[in-house]
Amino acid sequence: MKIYKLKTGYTELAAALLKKGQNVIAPKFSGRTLLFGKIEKAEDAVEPERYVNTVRSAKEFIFPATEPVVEFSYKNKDVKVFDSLVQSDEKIILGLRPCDAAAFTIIDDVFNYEYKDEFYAEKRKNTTLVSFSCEHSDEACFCSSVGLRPDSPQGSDLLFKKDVHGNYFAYSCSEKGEKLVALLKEIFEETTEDFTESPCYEEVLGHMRPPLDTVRIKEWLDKNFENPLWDEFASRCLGCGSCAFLCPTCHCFDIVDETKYSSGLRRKNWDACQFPLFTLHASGHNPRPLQSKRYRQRVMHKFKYYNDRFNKTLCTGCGRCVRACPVNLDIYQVVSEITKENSLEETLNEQHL
Amino acid sequence: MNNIYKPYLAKIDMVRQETPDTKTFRLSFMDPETAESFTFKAGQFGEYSSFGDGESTFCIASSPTRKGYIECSFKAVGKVTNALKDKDVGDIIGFRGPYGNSFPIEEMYGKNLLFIGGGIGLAPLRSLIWNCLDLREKFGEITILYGARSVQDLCYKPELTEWAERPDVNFVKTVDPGGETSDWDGKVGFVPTVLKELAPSPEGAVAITCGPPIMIKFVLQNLSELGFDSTQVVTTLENRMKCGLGKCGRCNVGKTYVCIDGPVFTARELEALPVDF
Repeated sequence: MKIYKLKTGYTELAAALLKKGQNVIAPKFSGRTLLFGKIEKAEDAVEPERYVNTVRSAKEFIFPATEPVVEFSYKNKDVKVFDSLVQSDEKIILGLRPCDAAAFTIIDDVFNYEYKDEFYAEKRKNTTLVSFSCEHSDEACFCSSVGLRPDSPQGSDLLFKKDVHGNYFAYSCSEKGEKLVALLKEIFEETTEDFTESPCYEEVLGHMRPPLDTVRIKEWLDKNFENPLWDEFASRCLGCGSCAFLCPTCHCFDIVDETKYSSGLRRKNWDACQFPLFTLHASGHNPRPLQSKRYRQRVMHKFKYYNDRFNKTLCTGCGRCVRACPVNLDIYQVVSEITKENSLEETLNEQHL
Repeated sequence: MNNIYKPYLAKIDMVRQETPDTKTFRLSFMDPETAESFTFKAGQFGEYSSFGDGESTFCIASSPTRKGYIECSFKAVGKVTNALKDKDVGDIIGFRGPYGNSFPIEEMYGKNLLFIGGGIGLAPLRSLIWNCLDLREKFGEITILYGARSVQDLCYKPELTEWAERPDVNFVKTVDPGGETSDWDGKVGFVPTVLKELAPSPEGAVAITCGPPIMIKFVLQNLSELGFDSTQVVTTLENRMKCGLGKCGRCNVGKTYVCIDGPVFTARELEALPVDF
């Protein structure tokens, strides 16, 4: 991993990328809401020190909320199908947080195993992820509970850290990262100064909720598919799906047709396991007819099933689901209850012995 | 780059009205190269589409030994199946597949086969039944127990007659109490009950079952009571699916994707799954 000192500030970095004709996606304000969007002017890119994280994750630029997979036309018995898979443009996602960069390394597994989803893979291949370590956290953040840190390099092509004087240092973590540095060589210089143990990020870490033990969480989940706690957790869940749509690792989708006269599109649209229709069979049978079962599926998929299948936790602790939940259902609290229950069980067992 | 969501175009060559609400299509691929190279195994499924209405998941109901076409049977219950129902010979639909695993036919060589089907659940069994009948000498006794709610709800009626007439098939048909007609020559009773009366021997046998969830539940119970080990019982799950490719997350049962790891499971494998299907 090479380290480069950035000779300028963030806005100048954005300006340099734009000047080189790069397609830059970065956090910018849409009204009062901070969202990722295409940057036309460098000043629109909000400096990373001014935010904890964006409202929506960067997922939508690689796995869009809606995306045509085929187009078709049908006139009487004449049906034609056209491929909607095209080469994607190169783009740079600038200013994303390490949790969002790590999310892509997690969902890469599901989109690439057995059958390769080129709609995802093509955009992923052509996207460079330039993340900035977190200078603040808020009460929702819990990345330290899922093996990440405010300055984790997982998934980033280039990861920026700051020294105590406010200078930016870029850690290049991939060929794409190197390529980007080479493109902007006039504003970067290679250095041997290393901020891997930067105290600033230890402080952010210290303000975060205490880390949970995912191994213990999984141990409990392995044994408690049936448990009255599920009803308790889900009793106030509205099933609105906000958590899934804001989550950088939720990847469920629907496939639907849209038509106009005698032609149309078949689209992949985001969907969520929190909706009752998600699993409803045409016969009327529904494997998950209650919200408690759907909420259980969400927690199980994140902390057990995905782990069983791909050996990864399907959560980066970004905290978006916590911030957005209209009824303050907090997945961190839910899984910490579980670990408490786990230790209670163990204590009881020990006492019986 | 290969678009895994792009369907083949297939022409409807034949339509058979199985029951008042169930139809069978015989399909051939429009692209000669696909028609030539397409292969599948009994138990696999596909995504069938009516363009403009969407895709639906059904098994391939014909046998892989019958080349040049595939068949599917479906009940008109939703948006896509109601659109498909109105299609006719010569119309073009979409097909993606074949997907999923298949019945472990090689492991069934030399064994006695017991097929237990209910309603339209006979469709995946029919693929395997004809596959086995076309390789008849490889198997021991073949017993088919098939039932439906009423006489008019029995699928594949001409084939039921053919099986009943074959000396190398032990065929038993039944309808639920109240579903019989005055000229009904089969049994009257629920499939699991008739299964118990039949009392097939588990010795050297494999039971393959598909039907409505409630029927499967009691069939599995009764087979166990008859002494069948859960490794001797094979069934096929039909969870709601969209992609069929292990991506969209709809058919998950625990870590299992029914579309990739299934749809065929032994009863032993089902026991290991969380009760979420």
